[in-house]
Amino acid sequence: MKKIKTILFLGFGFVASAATFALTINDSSLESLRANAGIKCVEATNSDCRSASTGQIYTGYKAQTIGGTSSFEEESL
Amino acid sequence: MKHTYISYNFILFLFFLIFYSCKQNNNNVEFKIQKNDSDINLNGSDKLSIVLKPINIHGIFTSIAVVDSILICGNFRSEKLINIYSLNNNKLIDTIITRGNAQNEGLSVANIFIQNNQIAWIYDITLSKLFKINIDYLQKNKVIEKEIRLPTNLKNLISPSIIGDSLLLATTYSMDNCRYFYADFQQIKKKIGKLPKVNNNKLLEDIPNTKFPNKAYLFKATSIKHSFKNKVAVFYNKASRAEFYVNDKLEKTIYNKDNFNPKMYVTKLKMGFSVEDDEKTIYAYLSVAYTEDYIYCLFSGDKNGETSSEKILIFDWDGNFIKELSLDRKVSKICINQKTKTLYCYDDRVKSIFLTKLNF
Repeated sequence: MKKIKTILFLGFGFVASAATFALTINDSSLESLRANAGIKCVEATNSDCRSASTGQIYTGYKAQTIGGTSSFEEESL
Repeated sequence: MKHTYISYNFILFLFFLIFYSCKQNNNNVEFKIQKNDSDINLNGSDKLSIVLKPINIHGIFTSIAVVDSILICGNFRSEKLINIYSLNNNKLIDTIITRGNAQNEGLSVANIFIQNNQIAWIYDITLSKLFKINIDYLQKNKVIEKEIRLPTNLKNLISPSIIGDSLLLATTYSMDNCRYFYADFQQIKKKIGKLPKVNNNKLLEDIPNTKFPNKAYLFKATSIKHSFKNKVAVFYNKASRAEFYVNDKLEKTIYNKDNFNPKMYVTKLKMGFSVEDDEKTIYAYLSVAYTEDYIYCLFSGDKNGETSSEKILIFDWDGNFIKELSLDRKVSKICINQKTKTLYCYDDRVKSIFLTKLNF
């Protein structure tokens, strides 16, 4: 009975470790960062913001990933 | 006992994985610049405290420049792009260039370049336009002597310096195969120097048909040219690096004692990467003014990413460190009157202009 418990425990540990490791490798590939596939320009002194869609630069703004405030444009990269 | 041992190891392993996972998901990447043996690290500590005097000029400005007794300010929001003030009485003399996309209109003043103490070149980075303003006529007429719309291959210049009638010198957001270049108002004439080499180079791979190469953005810098000698200096915005050129040959590279590299937020796209500033980005040279003898550099180095500073580093045109000025407030833009040696500063918190007389 003790042996079965040990085997089950070790098996569970192995599977959990493998799953965690697989998730970690996937996240560290930077592929998961595709969720951040948008930027917006927010007001900022002494900074420029690039608009990849128009090819224009805006003075007095800086890039920020989606989620902030006072943006004047939003675009897909 | 055995179970406890296995559980202990398993928990340790999980902690390691979580730590590793967190570390890898931090997308802020430091791009370490590969230095040469001849590069110089600054250790100068000659510091002078400066008290700034307020003057009654207020506004939200993106750029400032001074000629004799006239202060020219680029407006961030106002209907007119440019405010012109008399420094004799701090009064607004005129406003010029209507905000808009049409002929003789502009959107965004990135830089004001004063040529021969007589002509102001207003650079609109958004519309890629240069407005030539003759200072002599400013008080008499609203004169835009010339409007130059730069072609596509000259878009996204950074702080262009105008040389003679039809030559400019600039760095750019649009090219990563030179440090700065000369161009007439139609095409590039000569490319000078190279951008530094960095580690993590593969994270700078561009998306297809990119308009802004990652490496050019990473190494955003301001170039200035001596008014009559063939000397050029380049000051980096996101790394504590400055370069000094003589006859378009790199003579000296210096690193400030803070010594930091560009730190950028990197995003993987379907093809290539995107690099952007984020809260961990440290800014270096913010604004540069110069005379025939000295270069005055507003330098941040703040770990919280501040784009204003109380620190001004002074160099000569050969890249020798002269002195550090410590202002009594943080400012975001500086300009200097070459004749009177008066330094003008813009404080973007109180949105006012301040000045101080320099004794050297």
